[in-house]
Amino acid sequence: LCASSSLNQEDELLAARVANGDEQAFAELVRRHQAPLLRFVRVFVRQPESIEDVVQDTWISLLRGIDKFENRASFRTWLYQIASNRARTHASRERRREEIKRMILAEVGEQAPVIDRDRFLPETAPEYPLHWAVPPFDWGDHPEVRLLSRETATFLKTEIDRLPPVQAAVVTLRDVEGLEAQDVSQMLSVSAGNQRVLLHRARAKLWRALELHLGEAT
Amino acid sequence: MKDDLHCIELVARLGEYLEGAMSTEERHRFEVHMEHCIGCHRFFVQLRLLRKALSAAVETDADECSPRLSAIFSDWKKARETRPGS
Repeated sequence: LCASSSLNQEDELLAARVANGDEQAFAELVRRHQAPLLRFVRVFVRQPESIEDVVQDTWISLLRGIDKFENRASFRTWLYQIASNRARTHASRERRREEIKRMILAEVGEQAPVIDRDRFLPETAPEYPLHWAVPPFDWGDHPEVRLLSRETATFLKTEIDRLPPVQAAVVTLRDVEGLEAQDVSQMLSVSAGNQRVLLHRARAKLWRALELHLGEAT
Repeated sequence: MKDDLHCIELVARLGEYLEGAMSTEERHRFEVHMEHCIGCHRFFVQLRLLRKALSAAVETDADECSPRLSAIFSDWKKARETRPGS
């Protein structure tokens, strides 16, 4: 949380520089948020070119409003509110709102358990039923070194892109961009409970992928 | 195990725990379990590490600012400079 709030402050400093006409600061904001924005907009918009257009419109709106920004909200919350408005307008025009709702509910109601059933003992086991049969692998004494490396960051982004679109968006907004749960619920029009389910499913899948990845390398 | 919580339930519902969406009694039940279950404690710690890794991932995006976006910035700046009163 600390890391994400200091990054937020950096974003706000960059936004102030953009307001003064600094193109490098703008490029830096784009570099930080373009990929997460694309992942978010993908929930609402189907065509790849249209996704890019919506994100581009988001940046245009941001520039037009930057003088009025003055840190009322966090920079990121503001950025994603703009993107959310743009993406919804696009989805309405394409008459996709019902389809999006159904897609979100399908991801919430996924039948597969959060972690594979065969990692746990059966209900009928004489000892420790429904406890770990194959517990999480040990990640070693100082896993941070590897986990915070560029290589892991690249790996995790690839894995996020393999998640179903709404789960990918939720985990990106919450864990990569550090937005608050209630803002994410509102931006995606999902209940607090469903936001939580989507986030936990996404994290569990990424955890499993990371476990395999770390295991392979040792 | 001394508690009545199954690992499979803890794993499925850890999201509620992490998001602070549990009663005090339920939180306590989860914490008691994790204190003596190595597997569940490890899962909890590793999810925390995963979140740390994800929040660090934001800075390492190497995507360049596209020429299209550079042009948008230039247009915006020009429009702003020529706007009366600015």
